[in-house]
Amino acid sequence: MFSVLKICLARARIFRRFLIQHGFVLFILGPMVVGAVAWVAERYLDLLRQPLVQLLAPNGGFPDRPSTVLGLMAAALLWPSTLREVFGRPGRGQDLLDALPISEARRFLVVVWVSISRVLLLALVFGIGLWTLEQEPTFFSADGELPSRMGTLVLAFVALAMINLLLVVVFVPLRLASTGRLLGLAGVATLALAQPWVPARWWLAPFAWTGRPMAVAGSAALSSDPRFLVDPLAADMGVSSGLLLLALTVASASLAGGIFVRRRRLDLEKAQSLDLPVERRGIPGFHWLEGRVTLLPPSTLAQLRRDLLMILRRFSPAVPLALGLTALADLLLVTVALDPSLPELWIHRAMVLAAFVGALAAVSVVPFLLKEQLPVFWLEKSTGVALEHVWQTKWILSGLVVLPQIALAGGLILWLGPGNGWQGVVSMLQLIASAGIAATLVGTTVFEIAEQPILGLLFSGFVSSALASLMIFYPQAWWLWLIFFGYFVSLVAGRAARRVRYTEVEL
Amino acid sequence: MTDSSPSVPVLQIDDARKHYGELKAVDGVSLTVSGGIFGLLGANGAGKSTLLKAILDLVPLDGGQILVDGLDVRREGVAARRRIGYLPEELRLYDRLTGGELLDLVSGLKSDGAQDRSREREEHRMWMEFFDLWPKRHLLISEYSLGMRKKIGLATALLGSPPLVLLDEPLNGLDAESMRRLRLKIEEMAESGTTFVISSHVMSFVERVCHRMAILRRGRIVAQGTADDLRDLTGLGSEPFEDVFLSLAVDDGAATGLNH
Repeated sequence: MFSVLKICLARARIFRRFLIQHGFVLFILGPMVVGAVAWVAERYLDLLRQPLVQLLAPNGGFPDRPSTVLGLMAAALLWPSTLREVFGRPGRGQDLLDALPISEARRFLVVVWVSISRVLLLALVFGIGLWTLEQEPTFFSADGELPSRMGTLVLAFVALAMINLLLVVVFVPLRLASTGRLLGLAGVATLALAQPWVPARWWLAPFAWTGRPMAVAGSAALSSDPRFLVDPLAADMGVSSGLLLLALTVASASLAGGIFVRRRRLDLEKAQSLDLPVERRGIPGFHWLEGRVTLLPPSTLAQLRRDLLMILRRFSPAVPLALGLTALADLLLVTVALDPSLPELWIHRAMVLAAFVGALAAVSVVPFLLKEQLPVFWLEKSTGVALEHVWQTKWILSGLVVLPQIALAGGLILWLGPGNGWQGVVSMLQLIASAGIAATLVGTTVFEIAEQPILGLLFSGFVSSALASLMIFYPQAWWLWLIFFGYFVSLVAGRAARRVRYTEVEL
Repeated sequence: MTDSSPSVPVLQIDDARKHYGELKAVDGVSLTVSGGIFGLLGANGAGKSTLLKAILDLVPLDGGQILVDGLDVRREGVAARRRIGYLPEELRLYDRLTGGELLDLVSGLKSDGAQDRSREREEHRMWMEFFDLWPKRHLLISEYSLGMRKKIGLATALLGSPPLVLLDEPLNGLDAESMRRLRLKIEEMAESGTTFVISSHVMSFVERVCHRMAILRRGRIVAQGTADDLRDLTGLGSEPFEDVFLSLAVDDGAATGLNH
């Protein structure tokens, strides 16, 4: 037991150093940016609430649909960290602990304690977020039920962690465990849930239960009434359900432990190769293009080729995640287009908005790509490439990755949009402009945000959303938009070159 | 090859200083290299890698000046770096590119205008065949072994025949045959006019290959000259070169006053 305690303490020390190192971003800058984004997002939620509700609302086929979808999303988000905890980082070789005389049972206890500590922290953040999101403070104050509600929330998070642990040890031998495949499975399950004629799937029930607290947050975000979608904590999660969830948690942990002790060492090799690239897919015709495109310098073309190859080869879970979010935004666009209750003008506005969100999701891969590339940044710097070409490449890349979304969403707007063709063309132009804003802001600020991609994306998303809102809701003020846009571009472009120069090389 | 050429030296370092708080990683180093193979020796943490990175301006200096072919690396960094090939000690590469794609990338980055694709492809093939990587050119770098990664790193450093090549621990991970071939290639290229600055802990390699060398201790050069000069300085004429190195780089007091 002593070794378990020592390892857990070492992990706690690492976490403490992480908190100290990133304290400013986590506790000051982060909340400020998140608050600003929430302020802007409120406007979107007003517009997109009805289609979102239609997407998530329960129906006869599977009553816990919103909870299940949210539970699946949370499982997919927790997945990479659980996989790392159990089997180490793919491609990084053996874990030092594997070479020490520590039994598998003790290793499992460490994994359990670390997982529980992590989700407890998440539950705390989630609970506070929920509290602030609810305009009527029902969560903490209603009927003095705070302990039981907080207990349910904690239990749901712990259950989610244990289910995740079980899935990891079961899926790895089955070769189903890569992040991309899991997100694909989550997507398929989510789509399956959307079909009311498919009978209720018992195997999704754990996700439905664990997703319930998250459903409350979703409903709180969508409406001032937290019972707007479902009210699982108050209505569904009684004592018997709570005991059932507790039993499920214990069973999942016990089963995961048994498999962990017997199989982990046998499955290590499979897990180590999981997220490593096995595809060597190229970009047909790029070499031919390189010889003919004279507008761009060879160093820019070489970098673009590298970036596109890395995206095609799924350099990180950020790629399938961005793809999934873009698809979700397009699904939302279609839902909006087919909603007969909305006026024509508002349908067009909501469609452009959904398409813009999709473009923002697509371009979100760029900061993650740069973060992945920073350890190899010595190569660019040591080869004497002009540093302005380095950031300009990321700007061009951002434009390239939103192009498919502009084409797809633009096609959908022209095809499904109500009214005459002129309105469709105006919406298409608004989409091009707003997607251009997202690509430009993310592309030009990418060296500012690469160290903290999520926070950086929130900031870029906040500014580009504000500019896109101006374009969509007040199209007559296009000249004002142009001035703002020009101002922002000149502001960030000047900084970008300096920022590239002073970006530290990790060696 | 000596550094007595009257023309502009390939590398000139004047009073280079780099401090990390109290730690003086590079502390007033002055050095002139006009050609040949120059060894940069020192114990772990002596400042060798920091100095090599400072030559590329990867680590900005706190003081002093570094000129490559007469170009100030701070003010004319792009032009200066185009004259340098570099292999870092801790080699991080794009794991999701194949070996061939990595060389394509480096050629593109080093290109300053018109690219001669067929000549580039010939050069890529030449280096990959030299390092026995040609049959593995379509493998992803994540599938390469440690030795193969080192070899592809060496190929990127030597690509485009830069006049100055900086190699930080080039032998790590190489087998005996590859080491011998690399040594012969370095000597051949040095004969043709390429200047090498090599940092290595393999003393037999350094003694055999380097025309001149400098020994760094706590960020300062404590001795420099040929291998024989250093033997004479320490009075360890017939002892292994490792002992000469240790007496200069590690033993306190032994090196006092030896800086030439």
